[in-house]
Amino acid sequence: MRAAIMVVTLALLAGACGPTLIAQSTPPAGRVARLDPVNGFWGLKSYRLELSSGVAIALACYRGAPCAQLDVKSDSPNVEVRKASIGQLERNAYTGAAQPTSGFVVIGKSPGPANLVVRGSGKTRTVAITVVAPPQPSPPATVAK
Amino acid sequence: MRLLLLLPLTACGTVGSLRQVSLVGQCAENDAACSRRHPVAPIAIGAVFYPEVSSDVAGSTTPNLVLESAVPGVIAVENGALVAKAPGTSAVLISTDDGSVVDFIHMWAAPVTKVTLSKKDGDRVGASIGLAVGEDITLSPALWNGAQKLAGEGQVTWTSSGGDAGPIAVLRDGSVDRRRLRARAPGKVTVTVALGDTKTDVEIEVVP
Repeated sequence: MRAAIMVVTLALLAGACGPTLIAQSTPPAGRVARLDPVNGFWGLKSYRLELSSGVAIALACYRGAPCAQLDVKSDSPNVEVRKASIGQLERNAYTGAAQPTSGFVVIGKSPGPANLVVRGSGKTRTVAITVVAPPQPSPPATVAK
Repeated sequence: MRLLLLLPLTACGTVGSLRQVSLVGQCAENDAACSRRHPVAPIAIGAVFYPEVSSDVAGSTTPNLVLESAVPGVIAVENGALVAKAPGTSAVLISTDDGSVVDFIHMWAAPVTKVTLSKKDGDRVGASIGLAVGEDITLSPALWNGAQKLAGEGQVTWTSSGGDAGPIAVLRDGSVDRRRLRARAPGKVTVTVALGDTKTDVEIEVVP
């Protein structure tokens, strides 16, 4: 029984090992920039990000503390990824020390899929992105003839 | 007291998504011409917006900042100015010279559907204006998309039905789109202000 609990605990810890991402900005009206966690049996597996083209979203990376040696790579020109310089401090959950927020900005360039690999504090997390086209302007409604 | 006097100058502008940078228009409250340059409204397609960027990061003055557009086909950055190219929205990234994004602002571009004229104090000009010989009046065009006032300086053209030697002289005053109309001789003229296909007319009567 004890061994089984150990295995489950280790598996849960392994599942929670990758960095956690938190959105730091909101989309403009009528556009989308939404980050959703994708959970598996052992907890957080990856993320799903829906983003309108032309829209940017800032994401902060944590792994008990702001991610160290943050590195983010995209496999598609549908998105552009840039390092963010966020001037605020976050508390390290282990040591209690304050450290600068670690984050990046994802920019939707053109409609289509893309995948990000986020590597922070030595661990990775993937983000499946869908860049959606902006809505077409609707024709003015006829109120009366 | 000094702070209170500065309030009208600092109350305008747009703060970035990360609340670290603002695009500020330093305009007096009633300066209609200057208020068009605020980025709080969509930029008129074909118009240019000249931003003034400042950052608010504790412990640092504003670093060397670079503007970049996410979709240059909607809003382009040309010589540090923002130029609206097509309807839509684009994130404008404000980065340091090493490419780190300090902040970003989503800016909109919209077509011009209407041009109106206003006086220097912001009062909208109706159909006709009366002037005495020797008098002058400064008019500024405002660009609209429906009920939405647009930002940016458009390449507006001014023409007088009286021609160059008519009752009214249309004089530049240093602004791209604003003009000073000087009454030279008695008569009636129509001054047409146009941005592309969108135009407005104002009748001017000059009396002795």
